[in-house]
Amino acid sequence: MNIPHDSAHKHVSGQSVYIDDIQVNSQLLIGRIVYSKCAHGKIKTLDLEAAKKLQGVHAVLCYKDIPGANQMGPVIHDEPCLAADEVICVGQAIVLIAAETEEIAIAAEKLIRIEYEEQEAILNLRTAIAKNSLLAPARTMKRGDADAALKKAKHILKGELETGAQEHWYLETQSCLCVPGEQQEITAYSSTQHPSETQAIIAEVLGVGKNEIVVETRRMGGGFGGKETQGNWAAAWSALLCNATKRPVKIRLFRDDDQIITGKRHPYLIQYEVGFDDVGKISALKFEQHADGGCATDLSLAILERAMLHADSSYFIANMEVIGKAYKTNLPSNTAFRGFGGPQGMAGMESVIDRIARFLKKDAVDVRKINFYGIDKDNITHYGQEVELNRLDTMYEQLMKSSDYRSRRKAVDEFNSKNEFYKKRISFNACKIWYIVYYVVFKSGRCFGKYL
Amino acid sequence: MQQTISFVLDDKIQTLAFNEQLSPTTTVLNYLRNSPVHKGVKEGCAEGDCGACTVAIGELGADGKLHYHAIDSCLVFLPMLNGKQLITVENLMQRGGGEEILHPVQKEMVECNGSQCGYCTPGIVMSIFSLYKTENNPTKEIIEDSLTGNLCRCTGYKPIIEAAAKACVNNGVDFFTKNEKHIIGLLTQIKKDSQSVDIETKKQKYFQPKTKAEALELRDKKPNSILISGATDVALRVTKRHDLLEEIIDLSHIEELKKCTRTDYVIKFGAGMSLEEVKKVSKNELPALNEALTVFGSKQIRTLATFGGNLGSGSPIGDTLPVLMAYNADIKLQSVNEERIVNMNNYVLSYRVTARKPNELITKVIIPKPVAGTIVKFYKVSKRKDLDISTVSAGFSLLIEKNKVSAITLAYGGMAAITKRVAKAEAFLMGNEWTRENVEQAMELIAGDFTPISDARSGAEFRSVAAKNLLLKFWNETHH
Repeated sequence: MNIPHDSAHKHVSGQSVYIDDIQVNSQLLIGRIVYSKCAHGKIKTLDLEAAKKLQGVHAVLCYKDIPGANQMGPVIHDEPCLAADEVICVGQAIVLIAAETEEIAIAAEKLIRIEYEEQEAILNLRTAIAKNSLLAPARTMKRGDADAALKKAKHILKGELETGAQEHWYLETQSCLCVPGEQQEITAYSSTQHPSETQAIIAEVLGVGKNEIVVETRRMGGGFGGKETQGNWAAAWSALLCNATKRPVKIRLFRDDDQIITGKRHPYLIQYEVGFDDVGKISALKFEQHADGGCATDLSLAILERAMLHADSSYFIANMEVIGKAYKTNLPSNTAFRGFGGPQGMAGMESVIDRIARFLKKDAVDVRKINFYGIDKDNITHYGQEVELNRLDTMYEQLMKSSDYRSRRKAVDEFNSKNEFYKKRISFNACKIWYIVYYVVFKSGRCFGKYL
Repeated sequence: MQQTISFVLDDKIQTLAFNEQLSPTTTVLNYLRNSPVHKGVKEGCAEGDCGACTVAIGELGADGKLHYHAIDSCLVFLPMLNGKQLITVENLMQRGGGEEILHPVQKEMVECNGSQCGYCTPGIVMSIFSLYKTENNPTKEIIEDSLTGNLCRCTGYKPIIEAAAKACVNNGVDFFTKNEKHIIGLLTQIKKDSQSVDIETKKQKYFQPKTKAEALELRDKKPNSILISGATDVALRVTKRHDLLEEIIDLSHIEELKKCTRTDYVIKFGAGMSLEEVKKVSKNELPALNEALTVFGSKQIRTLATFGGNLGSGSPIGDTLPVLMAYNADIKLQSVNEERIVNMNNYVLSYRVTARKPNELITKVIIPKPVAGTIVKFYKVSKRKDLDISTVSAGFSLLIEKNKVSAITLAYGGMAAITKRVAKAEAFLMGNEWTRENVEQAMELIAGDFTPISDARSGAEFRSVAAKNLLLKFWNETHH
């Protein structure tokens, strides 16, 4: 039965209300973020005087004006709300402006003078690896003895896979409207995936109890992980401006600013060494996963662990070792994104399988099949969990048949041998997703529970 | 001259005067979003990439009927609406007897699960609405073309395409059909009284002449003013750089510039024709131009952008330039006291500098019909097929007579500061056989004609390899 989306009728008729659509009274001020143009450096000069004097400007705030903690890291407290004396990435917030109109806020920004003393910046993963710029000690997961098994293996291959960053591009940019209440109270209408954390962060920067802050999240115009922790930012910033002016303040980032300020999917460099026999059965595998965490920890370590937990993809490997390292670089802090590290981890493994198949001149599907997790044996992952409800073999049989894989493969090979410039491809991939349950209490707002 | 503009919104004539509060470069998007009842229109990017701001325009055609087009409201300045009907997502739903009655497009979007987060949905509804009004039982290709300008990030394109296919089956009949007479009446009334527009506020001047003669006069007096027609490029200066545009001449309301005429040998396109119109007209006779326009921007952009505007910008990518060079097209330039023809090969002089003098306007693009047997092709290399800027583009033409190349043009965009032909490779191939060996030798000569740059779109090396391989692709598609 087709059950329409609960809001479908409102979506299609333009009646759904997103943050920027909320009707506010004429007291509304527009918030704007002035951010670093320097990837790494000391702030030499910060001159806000001219901007403060501009007519229509109601607040110009820097880190000194934060009544609570200058901190908005969700797990590790390594993320200043506004840069103090040092900037660590382009896009890092330094100054907040509240003005009567967008035009005035932009004009005020142009009057702000910031000078930097530039310092060496780490702008890619390979430099970070060379400098061993770790966010936290390396993590290891292992089962068996990969080194010993590699020595015994008939064939050994070494290689690496690089995966890139990815912009979330939620259609609705980061937005929050804060409305002052009684005394220190603020109601934040926030486009956040994590209302209770947004509440906690606002309370922390304002130095007030969480009970003073109400976070209301009706819906988001997309999030995809980009608003899991970084939705907190616009909320904390608009709350500071709201607190300073005692007027409603709305921040809705321009698309360009959003893309510059916020983090992306974690780029990975995955290095491997694999040992296998003539049919492609893997006996030993070592992975070293390197993740670009950006300038702060954010969720990088949880994402790293998830990548490590998915490094086996759907395959049983008797001797396996996964080392995971997340690095600090001078890029906006990379964050959650659909799959949360899982896609990177699985991509590393599938790339190993394809490499083995090419080496042995076999169809990769056959290499996949013989390495699948077993039902009664070979069914424990490299992190010690039993693979339950394993339907891999059944699904394999059904899909091979229903897709008519073998004859299509033959047709593809034939086409490719006859055509120099145009090539076709067919592939068969399995996927095992490790389900993670977060504390449901985190998500207890109007929306709770979480799919990853 | 009139200082105000008028358009139809919510079934009523809206007349706007401009002042300190309402600038003539206010976008339609911002105007609508400032109204309490049109917040369904969304801003996703403010540069015509995502289509969340899509609205429909109803225009009174020469045939006396209303024609509907989807456009990106973030790229349209308010005065450009003069004399048109503006339709937003809110206008599609009817309220009657305490009930909300959805338009067939909206109904199918609900039933096919066409929305997830819902933010792109109003724009998508408007794109499908304009399709609904123009095509019956559209093919999948036509549906997809109508949606190239709409991004959905929750990835629901399949149900959206399904909704469009299911909705567009009523020959465009809907509430708007019943109301058409009323709207035509209002638009006729606006047209009847309309004059050229001359808006002056404290900070800005905005002219919207109705005739070419007036435009040429204006241009002569104000050679430094900003010219717009579709404004798809210039609008970014407002939405992205927050520039104040002080003096604008808007050519979008000059009917003479929108005409297409033809002789046995040439097709003459008015510079004010929209690229969507040029695409339609070129379909049979100039297929390579049609192909170039199929992957040019999105339908919303092509509906606004004009032939003259694209050539006026003189961008190094060129978009239409390589293929126009392959067709050996001419541009007609006019000023108050002179008109002249410039060949496409001599048109762009250096980076964004063209042969057009400050007091001149582009009035026509003249394309000779290719000599029988000539093959003209367009290629574009970009990160995605639709709505992307070319990394490298190429326009090639080839005539083989008696087994030898008797005419060849190899023009590339994106390889240098201007769109450029590869003289050495062309000279080498002329008079030679069209064989792979010869083409491969010519490919090596291409490198000598260019020193491409590395930028966000690609590295110089990729550009060089792509440019060479496009020639090989051309050979592969044309040899026998």
